[in-house]
Amino acid sequence: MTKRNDTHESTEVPGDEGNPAPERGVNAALAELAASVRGFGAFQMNACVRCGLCADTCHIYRAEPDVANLPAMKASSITSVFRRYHTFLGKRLPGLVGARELTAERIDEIRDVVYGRCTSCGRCASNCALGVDLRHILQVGRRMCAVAGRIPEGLQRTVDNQLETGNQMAIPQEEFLSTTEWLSDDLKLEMGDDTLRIPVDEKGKRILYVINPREVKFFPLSLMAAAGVFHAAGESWTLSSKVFDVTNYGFFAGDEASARELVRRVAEEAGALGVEQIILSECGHGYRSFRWEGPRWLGREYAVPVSSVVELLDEYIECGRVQVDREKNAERVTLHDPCNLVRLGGLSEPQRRVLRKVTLDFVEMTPNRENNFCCGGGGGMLSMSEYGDRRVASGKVKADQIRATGAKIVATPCHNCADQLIELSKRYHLGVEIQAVVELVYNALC
Amino acid sequence: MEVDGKSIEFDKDGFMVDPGLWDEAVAAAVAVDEGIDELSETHWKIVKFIREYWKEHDLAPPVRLICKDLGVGVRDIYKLFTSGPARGACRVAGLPKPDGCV
Amino acid sequence: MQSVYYIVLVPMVYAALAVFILGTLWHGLRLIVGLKHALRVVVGPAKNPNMLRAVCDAFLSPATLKNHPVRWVFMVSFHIVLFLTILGHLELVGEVGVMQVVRHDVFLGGGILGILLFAGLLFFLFRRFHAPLAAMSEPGDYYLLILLLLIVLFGSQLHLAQRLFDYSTIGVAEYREYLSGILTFRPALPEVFTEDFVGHSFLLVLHVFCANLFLMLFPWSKLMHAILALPLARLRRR
Ligand code: SF4
Ligand code: SF4
Repeated sequence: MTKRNDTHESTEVPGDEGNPAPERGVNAALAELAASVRGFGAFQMNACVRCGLCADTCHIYRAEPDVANLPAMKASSITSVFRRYHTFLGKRLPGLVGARELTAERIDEIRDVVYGRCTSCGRCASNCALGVDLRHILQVGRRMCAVAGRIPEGLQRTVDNQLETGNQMAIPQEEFLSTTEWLSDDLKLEMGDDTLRIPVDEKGKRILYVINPREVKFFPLSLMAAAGVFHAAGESWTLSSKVFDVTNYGFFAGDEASARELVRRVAEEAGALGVEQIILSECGHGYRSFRWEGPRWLGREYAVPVSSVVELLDEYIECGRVQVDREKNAERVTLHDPCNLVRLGGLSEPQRRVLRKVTLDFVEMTPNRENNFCCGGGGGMLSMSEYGDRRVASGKVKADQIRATGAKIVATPCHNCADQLIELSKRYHLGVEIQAVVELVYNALC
Repeated sequence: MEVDGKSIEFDKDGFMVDPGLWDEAVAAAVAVDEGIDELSETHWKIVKFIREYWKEHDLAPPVRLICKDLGVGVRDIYKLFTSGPARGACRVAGLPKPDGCV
Repeated sequence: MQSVYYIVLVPMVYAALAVFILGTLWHGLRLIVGLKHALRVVVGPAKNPNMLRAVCDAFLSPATLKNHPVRWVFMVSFHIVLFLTILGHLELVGEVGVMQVVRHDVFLGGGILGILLFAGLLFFLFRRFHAPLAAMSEPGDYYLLILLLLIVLFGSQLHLAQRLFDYSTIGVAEYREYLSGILTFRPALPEVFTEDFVGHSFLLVLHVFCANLFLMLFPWSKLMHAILALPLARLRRR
């Protein structure tokens, strides 16, 4: 929620400058479709046999079994356009194969589907009978909307915030500095150690820790916990007051130019501070976009290795760099697997090893790991109020999963999921507390 | 939602469409929806602080200011407002939804 | 009439085969190039399965087995029956020793295959008239199923007519003469094929006509999933 008047300058999108020119948007979208298809293997676009077996693999369809929520149906909003322009029968007999022309109205239809009915969680893709990568197809839809200048408002505003202020919540640098200072003071008291501080902008440290701005603005406990654990481990680390945001709303929006810029800033800051490693705070899409998509956007590998803080915590505990006492987390804990970290990020075991070491009663929810259901808040959903009711409704699947475990605490290595889970706990009366993994580790420190 | 004969509209995230219509009765009604049956003195302090800050800056205050200015412990905020300062307290204070991951 | 029979049974068969083979090859080449490219741009920690694994995945679809075991059984049985039916046609070309391991009269399955296939296709077709598939289906999906149904209908009629009603004028020997002629580019039509109203040659012509259409549509329609399944499985992340 920044001032609403001055946000739309920096990211002028082709086709939407000055007077809206719908044809330009359509042409840009078609060009994007053609380009995306080239790299991705056109065959993906036309492989679905419309068997319907993917229906109940999607949490949104499960919660609201409307055919518009059926994954293959959502994808066909894009593949039908592909067929119209890129296939033999689609060009000649569009009616027969359901090929559709791209118009400004159709772009808006696609927009409602790809942003409003899909969280890009990828569960349908890994469960498709044939192996069609539906998530990718839907992501192509997002890119088409992005180049046509039709990114939903809330999402666009967040991207603009990130580009203009360096972080998605438009936190000024002074505010960041005051907050880290305040947190160090609190932490000193809590840990009873006067030497403790939260290092900011220090050169030549081993680690650059990149966080979710939410940890500064609204939920500082996880940042405090991380600082506490780093202190206990005697880690050499620093935050940056200029580039501290691990999130990437350009990635959610399908706006690859912005996404690339955001990734570039972090990589550059790591170079300027001369760190040996970048550690990403618990953030699903931040991990997916920085760790995996980033090198593709930039066209090169990073100069230093990148990992998630859960990997680092795992390492600390495995080699005894921090001592933990499981008894301190006696309540039943379950784990929610963020789609972008686990299914799409390939990181499923470290957080489990950590939780088994720091909690007394850890239970899995089913299904879990790569086959876990999305919480409903992924894909930028949390920033788009217009789809708020669907977001909460689709979280029912997750709420039921959580209730079945009987857990009191839900750990999740993603701040985005955490926000959704907090709301689900309220709306579905789950009475659970949501915590980051690092908070549980901090809690268990001896 | 009807409060004191006024009908208040909320967006799909549960935030007020027209923050100008906010008053204490609305706050109390939203609080009930948040699972807070009776707003305590500390609740009111926080809500009014957020409201004032927002009027001045058009922004939700960071949690640091809430804690420091009001002398509330950082861990206590999450006990007072179980959905946190953004979706909890800002909503009761009748702000529009803050941007981003909240 | 005779010339219509001839056109369907000879030139159209060649045309269909040409479209089928060239179209599939063309798509196949594009697939190989596309797959190579797609494997290179795979983003993320995907461990792509090796070829052997991909073949297993493509044929067995473990994801479906896990999510919908009943439908999986149905789907796999349908494809097996379909495969056996196609295989059965080999014996109409010539003697195939291995296939006689289990001794049987030609055609394989004694009519059961055709009936099973017909039932399966009917099920698939009716399913498409119900939610949620009704809203998902394109017109082409129905036409394809109807075409397949017709092929199977005429095909099994051919077989059953011969078996049950003793229409012995057209038998295995005639089919072999005809099909091996086609394959060796010395097309020869047994006389009984073209004699009006003798036996059931009109069924044969209808069967072949529909099959020709099917072959010609194959490379351009979703029937290509028979081939696409493999690259898709290869790209699947696990
Ligand atoms: S399971 Fe795969 S092939 Fe079947 S409808 Fe869904 S996307 Fe299409
Ligand atoms: S990516 Fe996730 S949300 Fe989107 S259609 Fe597939 S299962 Fe549903």
